[in-house]
Amino acid sequence: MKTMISLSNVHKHYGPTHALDGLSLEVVEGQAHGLLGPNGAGKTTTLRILLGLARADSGIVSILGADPWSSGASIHGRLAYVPGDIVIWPGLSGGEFIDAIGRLRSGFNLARRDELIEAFELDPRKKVRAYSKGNRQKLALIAALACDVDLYLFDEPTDGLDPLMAQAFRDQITQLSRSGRTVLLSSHVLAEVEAVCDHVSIVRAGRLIESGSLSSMRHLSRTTLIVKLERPAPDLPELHDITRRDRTIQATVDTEAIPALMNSLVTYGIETLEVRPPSLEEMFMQHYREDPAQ
Amino acid sequence: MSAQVASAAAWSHMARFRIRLDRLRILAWVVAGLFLTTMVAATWDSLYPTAAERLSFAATLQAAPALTALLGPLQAPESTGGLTTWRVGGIALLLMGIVTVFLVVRNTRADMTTGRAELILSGRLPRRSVISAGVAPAVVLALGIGLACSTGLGFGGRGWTGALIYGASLAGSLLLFAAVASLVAQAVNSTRGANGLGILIVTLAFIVTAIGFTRDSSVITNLTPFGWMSNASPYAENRVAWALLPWLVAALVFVASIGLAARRDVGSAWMRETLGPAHAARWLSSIPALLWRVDMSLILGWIFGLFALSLFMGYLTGSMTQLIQESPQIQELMNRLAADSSASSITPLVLAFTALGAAAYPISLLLRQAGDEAEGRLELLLSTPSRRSRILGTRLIEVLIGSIVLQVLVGVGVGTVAGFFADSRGQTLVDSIGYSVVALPAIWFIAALTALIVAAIPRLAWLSWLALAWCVVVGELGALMNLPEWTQRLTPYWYNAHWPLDSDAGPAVIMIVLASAMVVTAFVTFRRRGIPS
Repeated sequence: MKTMISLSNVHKHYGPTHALDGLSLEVVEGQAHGLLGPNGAGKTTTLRILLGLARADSGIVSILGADPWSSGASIHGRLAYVPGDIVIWPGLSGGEFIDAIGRLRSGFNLARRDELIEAFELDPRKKVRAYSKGNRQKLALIAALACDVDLYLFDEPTDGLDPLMAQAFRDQITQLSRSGRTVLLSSHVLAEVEAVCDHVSIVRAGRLIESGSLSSMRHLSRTTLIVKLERPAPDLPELHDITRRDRTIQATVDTEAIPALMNSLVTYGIETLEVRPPSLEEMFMQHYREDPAQ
Repeated sequence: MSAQVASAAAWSHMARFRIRLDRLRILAWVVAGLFLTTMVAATWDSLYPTAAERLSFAATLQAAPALTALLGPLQAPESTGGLTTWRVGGIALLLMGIVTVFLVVRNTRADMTTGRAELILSGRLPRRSVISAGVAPAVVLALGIGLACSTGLGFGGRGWTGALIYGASLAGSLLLFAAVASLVAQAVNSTRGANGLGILIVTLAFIVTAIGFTRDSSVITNLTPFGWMSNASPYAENRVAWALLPWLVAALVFVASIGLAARRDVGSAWMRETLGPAHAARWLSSIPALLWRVDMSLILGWIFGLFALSLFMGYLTGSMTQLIQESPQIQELMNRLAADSSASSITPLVLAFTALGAAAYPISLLLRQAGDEAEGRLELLLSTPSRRSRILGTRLIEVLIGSIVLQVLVGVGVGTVAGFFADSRGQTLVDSIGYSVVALPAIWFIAALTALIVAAIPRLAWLSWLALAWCVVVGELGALMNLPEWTQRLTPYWYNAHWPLDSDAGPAVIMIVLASAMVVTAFVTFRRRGIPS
């Protein structure tokens, strides 16, 4: 599989701020890759470096097989980008903005544009200054999604969208992944990344903390288990963070220890059993709790 | 604390907060007003030191319809105070009136369009405070300018009565413009539109008054603040009622405007937002096309605005040229006003003035580029296959073509109207275009300087306005204030070629070369630097 994006030990300073502190990241073709992190973690800086808008102080950066800083705009024909924060020219109508920006990119598809305008319930005749924040965000989304390119970059794209429209956005991303397009989605909304991404990289303070497929990361995290037993059981070695109420035990368990645990539990008679796979939320919180740096 | 007291405290906090945010702006304009008034007054001292000389100067003005058109009748020719208020009163009110409009709109409508008003009104403030606190900086500006002009003239030994009448008249008229601007800000739903309509109202009042003065029609001049200021007659009749009239009207308009704000939805407008096209026109498919689409209203606004001004200037030029040819004394005054002492016509003077205004066109256009960068639009454009040089290049082509069109049109406007007063219309037109076009290298020089700043350090882009302000002060007032010659040499306008073209065009060519070098440097820096978020 082709590597679409690769950063290796990238540093970036803005004055005294160390925005990227040796960040490494790899996105291969066909991935829907979530870039997760709290505000100020370096997500936007990463995207700006990938677009050639900012230059990495050190480290190796490559996007679509080229160095974004020196190759300039030539690689931009194969990507579409949605910024997180934009003040659009107020005199344009929404439709004019979508078309004008879309036509600057490659593969702008009119049928697809109309489909998206409908999916996002947008009135394209309004002047840009008359749109609400969420509707302005839709303009940038439609101008990107209506283009058939290899790589899509999104910087916190659902900020300002209502839940229905955020769902519409997720449907679009799922469609893109199915057709083999590569997506890099920067977000701090865990549910969103969980819903549409198959790979996740977690960044914090300009460093990569964890990266992998969603399933492999679940593997690293503990499953939550709530079990009601017929006979009282002792604290089994596989169980962690145990809380008891009568004969009900709530605890966490390492995923690979589940088969052994089940064999032990059966001997005490299982009345009811509830197993919850680890959510990204839990992984995320775990990573931030465990990081000793801050 | 009762709710009303709390609300009053919150209002005064908001008003003071707004004044503090704008304090440097206000201070700069007040100082400029004081400086201009005292300098012009001092000029009369040196031009016509005795009352007899001043009276004989006034006699030559009797047959000068053009000067009275712009400035109104000269009512107190024997005093330097009267000459000063006559010379600068109308112009000061016009310029400061425009400044007042900007100040009111930026503190009212701009808040409503950006959503700051919602944030502020969610505090303990009534709806009307959008207007009542928003006009506070403009009120301070009006009072400050009135006070500065009064004290400047009073302490200058030019008589306190006239000084106070003039100051009161000026401050009251500015208050009235502030009140009108607060109505406009509620009527128009965009900041740019409100500024435009406000400026249009102030300028129309000025032009209508000028027409009234030439026709000697008190019906017209009794209707506008410009006419009221003339009616107040500082240093002559000193009519208190006319000086206080604008205060009364301003108070009434303020009450109406604040009352409206209390009754209407915040941010609503009388002018409805119109719908635009659902899809872009076919031609809107490249960087040049997109930038032309978003810059079009600014470019056409400059072209129409300056062309309209040039028609008015042409009228002044024509009628004054006639006058100068008949009066040696006016000719002497003109020589003092012009750097070039051989001027026999004021055409070059007028076109030097419009050429200064025309340099504001590239600055305002290139500052759009800095705005696009600051607000993230440049980032979006650069994420497409568009090259940086194409974006900067498009804007520079708009500057180049726009400035040529502007200068030629202004020359045509002045020359055509002035031609009606002259014997040889064709020659007047050709000369007028010539005088206008020779200023292009200076305009390009300022444009190139702006481009360089915008390309290299966009957050310092406002410095280019400072450069132009320097050219205006030195170019328009330098000769009058006896500034040393080296100050003239520090403006690009000094190096313009002379019309008709002679062998002295070398400096102009050097300026074009320097401008080109700055443009090349701008492209290189812009291509190499990071785009900060």
